[in-house]
Formats: sequence, C-alpha cells, structure tokens
Amino acid sequence: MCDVVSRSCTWSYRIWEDEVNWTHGWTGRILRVDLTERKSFVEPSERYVERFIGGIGIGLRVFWEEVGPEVGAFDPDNRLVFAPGPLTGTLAPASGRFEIVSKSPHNYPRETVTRSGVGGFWGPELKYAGYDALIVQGQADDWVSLWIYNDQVIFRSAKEYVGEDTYSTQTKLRKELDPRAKILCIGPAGENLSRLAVILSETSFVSGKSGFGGVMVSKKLKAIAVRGTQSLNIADPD
Amino acid sequence: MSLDFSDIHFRYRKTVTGNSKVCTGCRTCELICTLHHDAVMNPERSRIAIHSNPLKGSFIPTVCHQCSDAPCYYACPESAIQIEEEFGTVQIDAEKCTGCQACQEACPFKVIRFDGETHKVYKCDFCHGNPECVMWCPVHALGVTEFGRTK
Repeated sequence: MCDVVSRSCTWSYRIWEDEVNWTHGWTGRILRVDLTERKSFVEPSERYVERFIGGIGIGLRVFWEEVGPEVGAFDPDNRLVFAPGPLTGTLAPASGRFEIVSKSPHNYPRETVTRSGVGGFWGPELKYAGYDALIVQGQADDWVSLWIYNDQVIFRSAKEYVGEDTYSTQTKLRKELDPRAKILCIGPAGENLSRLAVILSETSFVSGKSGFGGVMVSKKLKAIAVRGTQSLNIADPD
Repeated sequence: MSLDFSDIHFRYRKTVTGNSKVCTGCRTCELICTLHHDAVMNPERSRIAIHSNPLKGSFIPTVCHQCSDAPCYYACPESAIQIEEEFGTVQIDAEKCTGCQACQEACPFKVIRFDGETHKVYKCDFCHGNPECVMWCPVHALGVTEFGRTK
C-alpha cells in the first residue's frame, strides 16, 4: 500500500501509491499579504503541504526558503506565518489549534525562529475562508488592520484602535465588520514593542510563547479579522 | 396533517431546544449538522446556529422551533412546506420549492437558509426523529422537547 521513497533530500518520506486528492482537508491555497505595498497574493499550497503537512511545517519551510539568519525579529523582512493544519476546522479532537511561526524577539542570545500555538476559533475560520496558511510580510507605513472575507482581503486603517486594549478593539471590529468574524489582535503592551507581548483572540486564546505581539506591531498591524463561509471537504464522511 | 385553526396552538410537535446557560459555544453541533446532511464541514451551511458573543460569554443555540402556528407554512405560495405527522415537525419539500424565499422572510427566528447553488431553501428537518446535534453535544446543552397535546 505504501512505499518509502527517498529523493534528493537527506531524509526519506512516504508517498501513497494511490492517487491522493490534496483538496481533502487542505484548501490548496496560501494567502500572502505584503504590508509594504498593501497587496495580497494567493499561492498554491501543494508544494508545502505535500511534504510538510501544515502548522509548524509550513511555517519553518517559509523561513528556510525566504528569511536569512541576519534578519531580526522587528525587521520588515521578518515573516509572520499563521498556519492551521489539515485537520483544523473538522471534528477531529483537539484540531482547532493553529501555529504562529516567526522570529521571536524573546529568544536569547539570538532572535531565532520559534513557534507558538493558539487555540480557539480563528484557525478554523481561516480554513473556512479558504486558506491553508496566512503569511504576513513587509511593514506598513501606518497602522493597519486586515479584514479577510473569503477571497476579499481589505486593508483598513487602524488609527482609531491604537491605545485600546484587546477587548474594546474586538468589540468595535465586531460591530463594524461582522458579529461572526473572528479577530486576532494585540493590546497596548505590543504597541510599546514589549518583547513579552501576546497576540490574542477573543478572551483567552493567546499565543503566550515567544512575544509575537511585538513582531505584529513592528509591521504596524493591529488586528486580523477573518470570516469564512466556504466548505471543507472530507475524504470519508462516513 | 392539516392545520386546523382551533388546534393551532396545541399542535403536537417535537423540537430541538438549546440551553444557553449550558452551551459553551464549541460549535460541534454546527459541524456535525453539515457533515450529516451535506458531507462537508461548513458552519455557515448549518441548520443550527450558535449566536455567540465570546467577549461577554453568551452562546445562544438557535434552531428551528417547529412553531405551532408555523408562519413559513402559511407564507409558502407553492405549499412546499408540510407538517410531518409522526413528530409534528415542519418539513420543506425540496422538489416543490422554487426558491422564492418567502418563508425566509416570514420566519421569526431566521433559521431558514437559502442555498445559492441549488436555489432552494433548507432548514432543520429534525433528522427524522434522531437529531445528530443532540447526540453529539458534549455538554448536553441541546435536547429534544415535546410540546402540545399528546397524540
């Protein structure tokens, strides 16, 4: 049934002899947002998910290919990868978590790549919007918040949210955008470039490790709101 | 079963009811509903919806009440909505439905949904007596309640 194949890499991995339909579980698309030019791109995720499955795998591969060792945590070249896994958004137990991968300002002595797991409903909502991962790069010239509604990616000004805590930011965004939107945001600690600041969703779903709130602020990104209405296909529903 | 006006407020029926004090907003019911009916995962297509405000901690499961006076029954111009005899639930006949969405406007709880692909409306069909959401709710916030005169 399955067969171990070694290719020109240092490890071997399995591929299935049967033809695998990569659209089950995965959505097949990765959203890349460039805040410097305020543009968004959609890339195929197949070359990532075939070998690296998802979550930390996608994130670390992005850093392996795109980010050099000289890049610091608060540099514009740093990436911020939000990556759910293939089971996120399904009924599989404990599958709702997604991973944030970035260079952490918290690490000593060097700012190296780390990950941080977040629970809650933001990861599944990103899958329902049709994306396997969200890669944020660049640095905006002014405060900005992202509004992702399926295929639409809208850059909104976030000047009026600066200085507000996470609770009131989410309350206002929910009122302005959509009461069912799921929001990741940062609070005042992040805005002051604290190396301990977190990224928070709802009330208690926090990327507690690594201080990625500061990385998000170095990109002048206050909040990411996601709303998805698309379907995830299941290979064997019964 | 025909709707007799004298019988209207006492019509026997079974409904799925949700307890908002117990519900944790895990949305398992939404996923299992779409998995059972459409074989996909999509809370947007679910017949049961949890209206939640996670910042205040309020989660309100909302599902078809199978109303005894059934406004959708009277609103339908094609008489595609019928009352099932066994459980007294309100059922939509997909073959007769033309997608005019009159029932959607009449519904006081806005639980009737419109499918843009097939141009038909759909709503909770009580899973023919065995609701999947009630079976799968991990905190038993959902239950089956009987209303009206017993048969």
